[in-house]
Amino acid sequence: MLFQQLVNGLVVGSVYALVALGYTMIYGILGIINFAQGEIYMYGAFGAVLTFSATGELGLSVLAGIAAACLVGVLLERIAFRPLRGMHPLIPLISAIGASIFLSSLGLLLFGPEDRSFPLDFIPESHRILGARVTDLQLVIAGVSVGLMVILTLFVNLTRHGKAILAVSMDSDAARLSGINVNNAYVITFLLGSALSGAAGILMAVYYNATSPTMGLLPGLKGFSAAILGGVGSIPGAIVGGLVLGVAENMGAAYLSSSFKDAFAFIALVLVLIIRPRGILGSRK
Amino acid sequence: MKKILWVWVVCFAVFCMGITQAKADDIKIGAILRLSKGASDGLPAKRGIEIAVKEINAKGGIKGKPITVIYEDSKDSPQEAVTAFQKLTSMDKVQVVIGPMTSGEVLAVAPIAQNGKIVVLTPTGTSPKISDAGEYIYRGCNRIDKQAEALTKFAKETLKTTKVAILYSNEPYGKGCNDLFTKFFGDLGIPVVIAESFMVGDRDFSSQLTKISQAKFDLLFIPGYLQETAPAISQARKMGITEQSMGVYGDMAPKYIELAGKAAEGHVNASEYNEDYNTPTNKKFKAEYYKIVKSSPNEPNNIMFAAITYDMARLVAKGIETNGNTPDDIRAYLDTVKDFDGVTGKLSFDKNGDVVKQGVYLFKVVKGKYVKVQ
Repeated sequence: MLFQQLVNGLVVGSVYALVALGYTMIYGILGIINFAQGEIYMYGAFGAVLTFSATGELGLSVLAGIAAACLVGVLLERIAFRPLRGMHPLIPLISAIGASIFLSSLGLLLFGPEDRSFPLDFIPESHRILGARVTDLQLVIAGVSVGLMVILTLFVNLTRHGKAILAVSMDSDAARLSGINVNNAYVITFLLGSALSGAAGILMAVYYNATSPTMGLLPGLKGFSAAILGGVGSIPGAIVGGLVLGVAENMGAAYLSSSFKDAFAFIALVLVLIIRPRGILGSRK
Repeated sequence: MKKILWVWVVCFAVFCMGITQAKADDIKIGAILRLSKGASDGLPAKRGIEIAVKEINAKGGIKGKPITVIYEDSKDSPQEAVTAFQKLTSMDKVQVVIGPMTSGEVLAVAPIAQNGKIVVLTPTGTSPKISDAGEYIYRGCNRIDKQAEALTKFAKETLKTTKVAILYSNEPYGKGCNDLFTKFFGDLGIPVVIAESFMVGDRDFSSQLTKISQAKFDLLFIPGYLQETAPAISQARKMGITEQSMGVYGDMAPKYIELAGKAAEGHVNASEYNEDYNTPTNKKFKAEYYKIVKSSPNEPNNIMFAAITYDMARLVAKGIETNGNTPDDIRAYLDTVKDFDGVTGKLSFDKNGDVVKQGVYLFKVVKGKYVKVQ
């Protein structure tokens, strides 16, 4: 059972990690927490679910979901963050909270209050790995998450645009002086962060088979905690944070009490912050 | 000059209020339903009242006066239900309120209703505590213990259950079901070998289900609301749990089968309403309801909730017509009504204000459809 719970934790954790990456990238470059990340996740899920029920094309639905998430992310940057750049960090924070409430209410209006199912019947094919039951779908989720994380890391470290993001996050004025288009870097960051959250939303829409306008709230909070836990601003930190959080809550639910499942995630967060205030892999700034 | 303007504005406003007051010889009924959060059963409940009112008004209302219903949203919260109740009774001056829907909301509203002598009819509050909430509080569905009795008896006699696993929703309703059903199963000599819980809004049940899959049982009972119970059963099946599953009223909805998919097959649950109940009233109601479903396909569809509120609204209207439009007139009618021709059965009320009808229906999902088994 220990190994089974570990697998459960890692699968959920890899999705938390994707959401956490969105938080951490935006924090790294803008120095603000984008509280609307959970809503971007929700729009990604809805984009995929609605397209799939209309066309039945899986590939197209995934693209539509990611496109929806990116669109919301870029609009968010334009409308809620860009006009407030350079102001006290509390102001964009309030703006983010407002955007989050607006986006979830808009979702309620557009999509209705009910849960939607993902009309794709996965055959519950499962494999036995070290005594644990792992389904194909779980393998796909973990695989896609890891793949996206690898691509992101390569993109940031090896490409011109990625390096521009790194430069802006270190010092935006110096980056501007050396000829980097700072606005572009912001937009690309939001695009990447939103695409990852949207992908997480799509994976969860398929895995849990229930998409609703309020589905982003809890993963948003957990992704935020995962980003803090791993050290906000650090990309490997967000990945580690997500996995630790997923495993911690599953282990807590398994061996202590399932009534406090969500609490264990946050207890883990508090414990890590007491011992290591900058997070597991956070750098001292 | 500004002051004079204000005086005019106030005079005009008072004048307008006078006009609306004078016009308002309509018979007003209040309704407190879950219209935003929990709208998947609140909106059908609203439709039930609307169908009843439309029918009555089409026949000229009650003694020539049309009925108007004032709807308030309880937002799934006892505090909001109390605010809504106070607004309905103090501003709209209603004498009778249909709702609220959850037991917590009903118990919060009950003392105020008792004090103000306003009749309250809850369509769906199942807590046994509502029986003792006072003489102005009525209910239109069976108490949860009736449901427990029927389901546990069915488990013992028909499903031949010997050991039970419970996965319950950790809020008053699910937790209440867990305690109550554990007792009823215990009385029948069926032990509950494992009980795990989840939170409202959870979509991941893998750690609880992993624990459950280690236990030996032959019935998996999942009390809660379908937003959680449907994904829960679907995950259980994906994890290789093949035992018989069972649920409460909340699982009686087309949405449940849609969300759970093939995992819903064989699921047994209780319901208040039987669509095939063979009376002219029910046939008419069913046709009206499905007309609405057809014209607004994006709205939550759940005929059971509409059926209960349809009955409640017609009972209230009949009470006003027979005795008069004061709370005590309505009470006098409800206390004496015998075998009212409702769509959820032949209705009467016992001395606690709880509805008396033929009992609880049990349904089983067969090939994506609910089939009545009892």
